[in-house]
Amino acid sequence: MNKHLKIVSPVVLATLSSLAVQVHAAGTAAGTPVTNTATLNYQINGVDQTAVEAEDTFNVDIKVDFALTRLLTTDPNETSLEADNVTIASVQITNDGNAPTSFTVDATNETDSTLDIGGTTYTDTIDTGTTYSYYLDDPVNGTPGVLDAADTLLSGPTAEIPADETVTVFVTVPKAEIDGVDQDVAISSVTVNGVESTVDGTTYQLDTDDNDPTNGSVDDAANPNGADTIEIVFADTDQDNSETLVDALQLVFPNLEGDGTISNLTKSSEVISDPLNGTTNPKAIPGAVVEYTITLTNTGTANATNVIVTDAIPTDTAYLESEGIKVALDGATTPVAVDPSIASYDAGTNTITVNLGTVDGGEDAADQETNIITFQVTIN
Amino acid sequence: MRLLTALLFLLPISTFAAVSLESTPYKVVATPQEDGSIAEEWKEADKIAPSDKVGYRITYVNTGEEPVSGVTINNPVPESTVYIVNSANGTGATISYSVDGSQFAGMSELKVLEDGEVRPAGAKDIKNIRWVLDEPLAPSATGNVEFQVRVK
Repeated sequence: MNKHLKIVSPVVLATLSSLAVQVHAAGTAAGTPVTNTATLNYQINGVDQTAVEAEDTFNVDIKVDFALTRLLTTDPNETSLEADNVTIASVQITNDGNAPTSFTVDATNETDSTLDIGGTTYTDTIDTGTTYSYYLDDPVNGTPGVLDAADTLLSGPTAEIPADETVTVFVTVPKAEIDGVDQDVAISSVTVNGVESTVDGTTYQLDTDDNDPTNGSVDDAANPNGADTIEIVFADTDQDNSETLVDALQLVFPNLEGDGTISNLTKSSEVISDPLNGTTNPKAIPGAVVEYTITLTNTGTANATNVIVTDAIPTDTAYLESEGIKVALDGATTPVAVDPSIASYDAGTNTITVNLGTVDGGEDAADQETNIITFQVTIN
Repeated sequence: MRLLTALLFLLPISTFAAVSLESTPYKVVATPQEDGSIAEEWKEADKIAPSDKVGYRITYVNTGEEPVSGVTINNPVPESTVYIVNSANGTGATISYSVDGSQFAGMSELKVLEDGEVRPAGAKDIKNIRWVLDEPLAPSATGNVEFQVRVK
């Protein structure tokens, strides 16, 4: 036997191509048998003997590994409280394990915490209610990454998510459970746990990291550990089959938003008449009637919705109910009386409230809507 | 029928193996030691997941009455695993490798042709490992060879 092998250089080769066997990033699928075969050749008295062979097999176990990421990379979730269900967190779950795995998703308020998103620090100012709903994004029948009618309301764990795949879950609470003002921030955390993995028709409960047959796992009673059985290995961060992600919701009411800006809000007053001079060159003396004019323009590019103007009646004056509140909508120049549902006076708070609804913005100044509100008072 | 009987009678003799062979997988676990170093321990192969290291120990015994020579152990790298460079060892054995299962050479002498380029073989190219015992194996003599892979 010549043990000094003569090498022709280069010793090529297998010709490789990029089309070699595809292996998941997550690795060999759980349940795959890995077999080793050793063969020994030998001679007795220089005569070749029948080779002997040794073989062993182990099964690749279930590797439970998953990661959570925020769907929105540069912004918090935002709401103007228009939709009935408000998304408080948008979580991407990536199954980095080697078996299809189902997950539970649970949210909770993170009171008084902060979260950095895209270089901005958001500080929790409000808690939401806790009537959470969880929706699984359907990127095929709906818009990917957007909560829409195609998405599935989860009533328990997700379906089993294949290895290497990523899903998005939206956590929502009813609009009525959010009480805050513009720019308020609600920070919540979302905890995800693996529940089940099905391998070759057998469903394994991921209730515990199975390395002890006596640990109470349903599966282990039937499958004591061994090379040829399938165990469960928690390979996620901290190896506890649990990952948590923090996400933020910010209340953004459009009339104060950057590109729907009501910046040109002016208020002026003019004495209309007084008891001595009437309407001729009237003076601001007790009993005089003063008209206030509020002018409001949306100088932003976006339409402002739900625009509400409130104004307190000045001290030492009395609101003149006989004149009422007049409004010039949609670019009209002459304010006219409007329905009480639009403009009203509250004697209790001594304020007027005008609901202008949508005020159009636009790139061109000509498209930017101006509204005018007038009301009158008498000087006490 | 008589012929078959004769064959059955002869069979055990003609196929009697004078050498036994056993392959056992172990989970290779990096275990921190008291002095701060990390040692690899070979444990039972109960729980093995992707990216774990698996060590194979192949044990041979001369169970016959006569010395055996030319002992050669050939072990293809198991499917779904990648050989870990320099992990093969075996006392009194010369180790060679193959990227195609037929030509064997030292690791540094192996080349592969990939996308039209010839390059040195890497761990993932190794398809087979071969140990050739330098000396004959006396009756009752035993030994083992080892190698490690990483589960894909």
